[in-house]
Amino acid sequence: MNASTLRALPWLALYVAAALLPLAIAAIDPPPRRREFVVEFGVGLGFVALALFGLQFALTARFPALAAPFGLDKLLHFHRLTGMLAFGLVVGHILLLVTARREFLEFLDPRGEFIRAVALWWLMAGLTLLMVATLLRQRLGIPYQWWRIGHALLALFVLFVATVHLFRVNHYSDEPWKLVTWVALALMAASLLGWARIVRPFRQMRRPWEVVEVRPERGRSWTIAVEPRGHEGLRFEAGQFAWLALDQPPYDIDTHPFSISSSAEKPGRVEFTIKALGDFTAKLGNLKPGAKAYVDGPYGNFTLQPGDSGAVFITGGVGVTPAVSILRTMRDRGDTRPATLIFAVRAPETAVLHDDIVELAKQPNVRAEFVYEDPPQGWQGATGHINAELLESLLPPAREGGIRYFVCGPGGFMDVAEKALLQRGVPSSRIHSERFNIA
Amino acid sequence: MLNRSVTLAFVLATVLIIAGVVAFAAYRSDDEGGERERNRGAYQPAPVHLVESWQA
Repeated sequence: MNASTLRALPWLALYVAAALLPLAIAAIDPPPRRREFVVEFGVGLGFVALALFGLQFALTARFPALAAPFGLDKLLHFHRLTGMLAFGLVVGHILLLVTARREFLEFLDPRGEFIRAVALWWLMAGLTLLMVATLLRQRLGIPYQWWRIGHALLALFVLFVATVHLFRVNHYSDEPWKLVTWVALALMAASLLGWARIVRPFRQMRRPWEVVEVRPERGRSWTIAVEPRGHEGLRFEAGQFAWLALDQPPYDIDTHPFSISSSAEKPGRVEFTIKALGDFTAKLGNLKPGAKAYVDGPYGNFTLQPGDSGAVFITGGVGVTPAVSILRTMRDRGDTRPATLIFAVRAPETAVLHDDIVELAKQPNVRAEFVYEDPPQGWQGATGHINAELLESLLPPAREGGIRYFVCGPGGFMDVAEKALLQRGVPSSRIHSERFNIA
Repeated sequence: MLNRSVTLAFVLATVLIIAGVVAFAAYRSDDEGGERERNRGAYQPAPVHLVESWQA
C-alpha cells in the first residue's frame, strides 16, 4: 500500500461515516412502528442521498487540508461521481418505496398533504435540472460562470427541499432533538457554501495583487504576471495552481483555476500562462498592467517530491505550464535531477512557452522533446499523435526507478499517456495527472 | 492516476455506504410487522409459535 493510499484512507473512512450518520441518528430512539425490509432499505437510501448532498458542499469548499493530499481536480472528480450516486440513490429511494407500497404514491399527490407533495416534486425537478445542466453543460452551451452560480443555487435548493421532505414524511424525525440535529446538519452543509463564496473572497480582498505584465505567447496564449500589494505574496510548490480573479472583485462568479508557470523561488512575482479558450480567457488580451487581481491558492499536488530521482513530463498544449514552473524552480534551486519534457503540440508556432523550454533544455540535466502533429519542413524530431510506441522511443529507460511521471493535457491525450505508462510497468503511484474539464 | 484512484475510492465508498444501508434496514425492519401494517384492519392470526407455547 503506497503513501498516497494511506493518506486517503482516513479521509475516505470519514466520508463514509458522515454519509451514514443520518442512518445512525434515525436508528437511535426509533419509532416503534416497524416496516418490511424493502421499505426500510428504500428509506435508508433516501437518508444517505441527503447526506451525500450535504457532503458535496464539503468537497467543493476548497479546504486546504482536504485539497492538499488529493489534489483539487481529484476531489472535483469524486464530487461529480458522488453527485451521480446521490441522484441514483434518490431514484432508487422513490422506486423501491412506491413498488413496495402503492400508498407512498400519495406523497406525490398535492391534494393530500400539499407541502409534502410540492417539496417532493420540486426535489425531483431540481435534482434532474442539476444533473442535466452539469452533464450536458458544454453540449447545451451553458457558459461556465452561469453554470457555476446556477449549480450552487440549485444545490442549495435541493438541500432545502430534501430537508422539508424529511420533516413532512416525519417517520424518523418526530423527536425534537432529531429535528434540531437535521436542521443543524443542513445548515452546516449550506454554511460551507457561504464560507467558500463569501468568507474566503472577503479574506482575499485583504490580500490584493496587481497585474504588472500581460505578455502574448505562442498558441493564442497569454502570460499574466501579478505582484502582491501590501503582503508577502504566494508561497507555492512548483506545479500547483490557483484561482484567479482579474480586474474584478473575488466575489465575482468569473474566477477560474489556472496553473502557475513561474518559479516557486519567486513568490513576489507570480505568472500564469493561459490559453484563450473560453469567454473569460478570450478577453485576456484587453487586460492592462495596473489592473487589480486576486489569487486564491495554491492548490494541487502536481509537484516533484524530495525523494524522487527525476521527473518525466508528458504534456499537451497549454498543459505544459505546470511542467515549466517545475523546471524553472529546479533551475533556480540548482536542482540537477534529470528531467525529460515531452511536449505534444500541433506546430512550433502554437507551442506555448516554446522559447522558454528551449532555454531550459540547455541545462545538462534537462531534455525537451517536441512532438509536432504538423511539423515544419526539415523537422528531425518526433511527429504525429502521442501513442505507446512514440512514448517508448522518447522516455528514459524503464529501469530508472524513483522517477515521477507527470501527465497534463487534453482528456484523450492523458488517457493514452497514462495507459502507455502503465503498460510500460510504471507503478500508478508514480504517475501524477491533472485534469480540469470536470463540467 | 486520476481515473483509477478516484474510481477505486468511489467504488469502495459506494460499497461501504450500501452495506451500511443494508445493515440499517436489517436492524430496523420487521417483515411480519410490515405485512401487518400494510394489511391494517385485516384479521391477523397469532404466529404459530405463540399458539404452540400457549397450548403447551
